[in-house]
Order: sequence, then C-alpha cells, then structure tokens
Amino acid sequence: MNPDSASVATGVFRPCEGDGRKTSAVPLSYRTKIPHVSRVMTIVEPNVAPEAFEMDALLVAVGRNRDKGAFQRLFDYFAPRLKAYVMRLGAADDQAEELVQEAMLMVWCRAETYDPAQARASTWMFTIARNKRIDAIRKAKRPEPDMNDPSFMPEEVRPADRFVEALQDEKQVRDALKTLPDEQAELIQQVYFQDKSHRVIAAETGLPLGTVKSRIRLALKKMRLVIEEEENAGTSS
Amino acid sequence: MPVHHPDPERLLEYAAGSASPAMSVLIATHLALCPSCRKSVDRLERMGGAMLESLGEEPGLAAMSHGAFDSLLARLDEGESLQTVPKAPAFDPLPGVELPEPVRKTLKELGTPLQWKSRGKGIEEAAIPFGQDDAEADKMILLRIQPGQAVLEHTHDGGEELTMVLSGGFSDSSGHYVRGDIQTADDQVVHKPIADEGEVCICLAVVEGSLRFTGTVGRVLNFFIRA
Repeated sequence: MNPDSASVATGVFRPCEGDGRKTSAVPLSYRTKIPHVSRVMTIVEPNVAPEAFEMDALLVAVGRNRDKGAFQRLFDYFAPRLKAYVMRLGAADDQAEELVQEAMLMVWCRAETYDPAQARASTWMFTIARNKRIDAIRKAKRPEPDMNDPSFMPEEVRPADRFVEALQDEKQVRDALKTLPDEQAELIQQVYFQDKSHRVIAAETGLPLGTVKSRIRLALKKMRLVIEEEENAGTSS
Repeated sequence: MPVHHPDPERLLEYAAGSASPAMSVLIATHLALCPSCRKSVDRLERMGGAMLESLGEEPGLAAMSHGAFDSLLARLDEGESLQTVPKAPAFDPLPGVELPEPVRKTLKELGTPLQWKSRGKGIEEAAIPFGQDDAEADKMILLRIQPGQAVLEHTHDGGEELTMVLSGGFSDSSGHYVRGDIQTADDQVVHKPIADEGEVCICLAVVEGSLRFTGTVGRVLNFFIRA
C-alpha cells in the first residue's frame, strides 16, 4: 500500500513528500525541454480560448512564485471540474472532495515542473487527477515512462516540431470531439469517464468486439489523436 | 525504434486511465522505448484535458463544499516540505537485460525472486502477480525462450495476449519482433513463434482475463472499496 492510497482512507496526507517517482507523476514531463515558454504565452492563436492561456499562466505563477492567489483561481476553475470528473468515475461526494484536495496539493507541489510549451493546464490537471484516482483505488502506482530511465528512448524531433504540436489545443480537440458521430463520441466518453475498456463496452452493449474497436479507431483517426503509420514513416528516419 | 505497436484502443485506455494494472505496465514499458506512441498518448491526454474542460459547460457541475479551499491551504501550511525522492537502490532481477523503468519497478514491488517454470523444451515462464489475482484480472508473465527455440503452435482463448520483447527477438508468420515491439494475438491467431538465433529472448506478456459482467452499477459500487 503506498502512502497516497492510504491517505484516502486515513485522511493523512503529506504534501510534496516523495511518492516513489521523481517525474513520472507529472504528465508529459518526459519530453524534451524546449525554451519556448515565453513565446507560448504571447502568441495568440485564433482557435485558442484566451482562458486556456490564462490558466497556463496561473499554473506557471504557482510554480515560480508559490502564488497563492493564482492557486486559488486555479482551484476555483478546476476543482469543480475535477470533482465532476472523479464523480463520473464512481466516487461518492466526500471521496471526490478528498481526491480533488489531494490532486490540488499535488498541483501545488509539482507546479514547478509544469511547462506550458508542452501542455495546456487542463491536460496537466487531467493527468494528475487521473493518476490520483488510479493510485487511490489500486495497490500499485500508475506506471509511466520516466525520462531519467537509462532505457528511455528519446525522441528525435526538432524543437520547432514540438512547439507546433503543443499548440494543437484542447479547444480544437474539444471542437473535433463534437463533430464525431454519436456512436463514436459515446465510446470515447465511456473510456475516459466510465473507466471502461473497449472489451467491457463490447460485453455490456452486446456489440461485436470488432465493431467497438473499429468505431474507436475511426474516431481517433478522424481526430488525428494517434500517430498514423504514414506519419511514423515520415519522422522515423 | 519499435515497429510493432499496441493497437490504438490500448493507447486510448492507457491515456484515459481505464487500462488494467497489468496492461498499463506493458504499455508504459513500450512507451519508454517508443517516442511515436508517446506522442499518441500525449495527444490522447490532451483529449482528456479537453474533456475535463468540457465538464464545465455542463449543468450541475459538482461544486466543492464551502471552505474547501481554506482547508486545502491549511493542509499546505501544515505539511509543506519539498522533499526529494531518495534514489532507488540498484535492483536487477534479470541480469543482462536492460529493463525499462515501468517493468523494473513492477518486478521490484513483487518482492520475491522470479519463479521460473518450464513450459516445454527451452521455454520458461514466470508469473508476475498483481493485487487482484482472479480469473477476471489480466495476467502478466515473463517468458524466457532459448535461442532458436520454437514455441508450440498455439492459439489464444478468450481475450487478447500482448507480447512485448524486452531482449532478443522472435519471428512468426506476422513478422519479426525485437525489443519494444508488441505482438497482439487473439483467438483468431494461430501462430508458432521462433526465437532468434544467438540470443535468449525475454518477453513481457499480458493475457486478458475473463470478462467481468458486473455492469455499471456493480463497478460503481466496487469503485472505492480498496481506498
């Protein structure tokens, strides 16, 4: 039993204490660091909602300045969303509150490692809440690749490529999600918000496994959410 | 770089957090070796961020209780200390094989030496138990196949079996697999893998368990039992 999972039951939580992973609890941390932070904050993308950057800036302020005012604004914005997220996944009200508190403590402790060139704040928050929830219900910590691992295979990309990639914003992803046929959007929702694998969905709905798989793949392909073979072929040389 | 990747739905489930513990270790180990799949997972996590945002558009957003932020601040003030994580002591359960961190950590937490059992000439397997150990849980095993050894022709009942090479390599009718490559086999696949000559082949495999048919309500009720 790890300290974090115990804490849900006992209410004892030691913020910022080592939990056995240096970087892996922090999403996206394994990617190449690139010095574009200030540029990201100033570029105005037509499709990016201004509040998305505002949240990024608040998170940076928490990391750099331990700014409690910024932390409160992040809390006001994200806590209800995080709570809704874990409640959809089955947490009761009080458990959800506790998970949100722990996630926000983690945010406070790890904000220094947040890099807005690599992810929007909402994605960073999502991964922290996802991991907290999994750690709370499972014996083992959620496994993640660790960039400090000697086995870790670094990516060979030019920083400029990464920069462009990061700007494909959640807002655009969200808009793309709305264009999916209902049957595909519903599947994606179930995987993210109901903790279901494609196999469980197939069993529960009575749909053939192959149908569920192909619907998921169509959705991911349409939204360009997974790297396609052709893209691979173009970058792997 | 690996050329045989997990199916897209496996990456989706890993990113969404709905993959089983055993499957998560296998996928995370592949990710350590595969920049391309990491990029896919980044994108899929971005979708998680987008969906988290979208919860704000819906009516009946779950409000936090009164004073929640103040009690959070109190917890910060009472216990804040930025401790560094002590460096993990060396641990080498499979000498000669460079294990990516996710699987190395899993073997370490096992707490016991690997129990290799013979599965026919030149083939051994070691089960890696997880917390939940019943017919429903996905099973994780390590396979050790001697150079040039053929695994008996076999098929897979029920769920899929994902086999990832950690060292050495093997071939079957679907291709050649080396470190980081994942082969996915289901009950439609009958295959006869043969280990490469000259090197022992070590693989990490996850076999899907029998499905639980508990339905949504059961899953919700069971959700926090462990917590």
